[in-house]
Amino acid sequence: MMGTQSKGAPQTLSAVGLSKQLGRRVILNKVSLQGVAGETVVLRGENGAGKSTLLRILAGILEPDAGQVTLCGEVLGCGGVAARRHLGYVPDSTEQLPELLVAEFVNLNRALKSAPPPAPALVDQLGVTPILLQRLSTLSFGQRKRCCLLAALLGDPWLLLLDEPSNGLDPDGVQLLLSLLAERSARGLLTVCSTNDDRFAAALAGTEYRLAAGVLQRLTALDMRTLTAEKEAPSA
Amino acid sequence: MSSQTKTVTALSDQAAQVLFAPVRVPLLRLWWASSGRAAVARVTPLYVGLMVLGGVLFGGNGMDARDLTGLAARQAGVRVGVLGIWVLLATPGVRALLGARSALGMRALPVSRSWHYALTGLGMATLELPLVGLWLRGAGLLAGLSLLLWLLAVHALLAQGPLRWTERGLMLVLWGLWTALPQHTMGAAVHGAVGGLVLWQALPRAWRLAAERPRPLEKPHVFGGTLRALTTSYLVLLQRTQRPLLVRAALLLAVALAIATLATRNNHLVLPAEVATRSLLVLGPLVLLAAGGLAGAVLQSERTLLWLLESTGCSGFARVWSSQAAVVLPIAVLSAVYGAALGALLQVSPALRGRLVLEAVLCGVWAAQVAMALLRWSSRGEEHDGDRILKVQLMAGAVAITATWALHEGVLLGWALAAVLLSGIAVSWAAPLTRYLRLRWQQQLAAHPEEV
Repeated sequence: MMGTQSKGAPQTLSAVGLSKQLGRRVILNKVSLQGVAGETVVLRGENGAGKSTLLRILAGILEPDAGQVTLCGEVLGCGGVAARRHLGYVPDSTEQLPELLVAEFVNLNRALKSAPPPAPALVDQLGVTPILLQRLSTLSFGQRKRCCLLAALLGDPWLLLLDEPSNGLDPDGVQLLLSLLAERSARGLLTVCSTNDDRFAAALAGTEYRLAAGVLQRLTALDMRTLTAEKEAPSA
Repeated sequence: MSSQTKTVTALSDQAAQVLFAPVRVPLLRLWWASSGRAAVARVTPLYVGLMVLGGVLFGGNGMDARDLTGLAARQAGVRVGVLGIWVLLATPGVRALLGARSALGMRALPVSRSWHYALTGLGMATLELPLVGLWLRGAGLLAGLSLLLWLLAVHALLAQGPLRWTERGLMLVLWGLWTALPQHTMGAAVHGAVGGLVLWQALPRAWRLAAERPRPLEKPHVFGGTLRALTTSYLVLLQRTQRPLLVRAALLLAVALAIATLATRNNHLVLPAEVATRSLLVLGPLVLLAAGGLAGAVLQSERTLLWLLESTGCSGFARVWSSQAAVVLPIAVLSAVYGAALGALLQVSPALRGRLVLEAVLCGVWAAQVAMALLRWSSRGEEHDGDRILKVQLMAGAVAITATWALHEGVLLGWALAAVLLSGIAVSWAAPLTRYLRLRWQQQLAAHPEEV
């Protein structure tokens, strides 16, 4: 699958000139983002900066006012189904989850993605096995995140979009997530995640971007040192 | 002072006014928002149905409340039967009142427990009012109040979840006394006293345990390909979260059955074509209403799943047909029951019975598709959705009645054509490409209204 999708297209993800305005507020202003196979892209930014909006556009949930997203050579806009077959999306807490059992939610995702069942080892690894017959609404925040991660990983998508993935996860869960992402990266798969968790971002060791005032800026090593120093300054 | 500083100061003052104003949190309002409203939503369809039934049984030259309470006083079987049915019917409402998880937050408030118990007791008493009111009217004040205490005690025990031996014993005592002692003065006093004592013990425990009840493990029902998985998801969500709407749909068809039976008998209709037409004339508008309620709930579920449908590129066909199937299936079953029951009540020939069932099912299936497509068209996430949905439903009902008057059984063909046409439009509107083009057009309209 990987070979056919990537032929002649070294960049797996290309978002060019994305703009989005919600009401009068400009969320994204001609934002461009490139992601290559095996890369981990980390989106940083203050609360309300537009990270989730950008991820939703990359997931095909929101349509940008201007600009285009291309994934593995397929255009995501215009309701492009082919491009959506290559992605998995883990929402943040604001997205609504239905009153379904975990097993039902996973099965529904499988059906919608035409994906094979998840490997039992992965289900076990994510700690979902004991809660398969529980309703999503009865689970803790972290457990719901794990279920959404399992659903997003169905079909082994090329692009995994994670919205604040470390929120609500216990330390073991964070370690597990890091190892899963490292393993994906080693297999040449792309991950884009938004986070404000410094430790998690540092452990990811990906390409970092900062979104502020609708503008996405790639952070250099110097920028990151400056940011860290700014954060540490008040405590010092 | 610069203009920026002035603005900041003005905003701070505004924030201070909002944030630091003295706050009074009325307990009753909080209780209503956290659990009262859920209980009312749960019992409303049932109580509306009971009002209709009560109107038929006790209205005009029908029974009097005294007839029922007198019969219950004389015959233990009636006494136990009436209360048994009532306890079963009212339990879901009581469970919704006591078991709302959102009410758990109220326990953290610095309010005496007795206020919580009082509010809960008051809410439970309100839920018992229909039967208690009947008893007050038929058997007097003492009997009515003793029945209220008895019912509150039984429901407080039932709301606790799995019962311990003590609670099982108390339940046996309550039912035993109710069976053995008729509600004469002495009997009523005993029922009231024992009920009050059990309530005193059971209410605090029910209040504490009901919201903490572990949910039993359920079997998964979502399997298969996209269409089947989505349909079963919607059906499961209907059954788990919108059960009152299913009850309302059943009640509406029960009303249709009553009207169709009376209309056929009173007008002395005997010809099969006349009977079948009258059945469709009554069923059409009411099945539209019933399906409209279910369609609203299914569309709400679809909106909950929107992020998933969008990110997986679900086709317009799968979206529309799965949501329609989730409305059509329960409506088809209810329509079949309607047709069979109408045939049985009118005591018609087996051939006409089959015709009534078949036509009712066809009418139900196509009307459900029409209702779903109309609702999909009329609910656009705008401010005036409610008005538009109501107007569309009323107009559709009027058209259904007029068409049946004009076309008789041929109206089924009209239903089929409308269903196919409206479903086709819905599929094309729900297709990802159409939605994308529509969105682009709206964006263009918003950006340059003068050019479009």
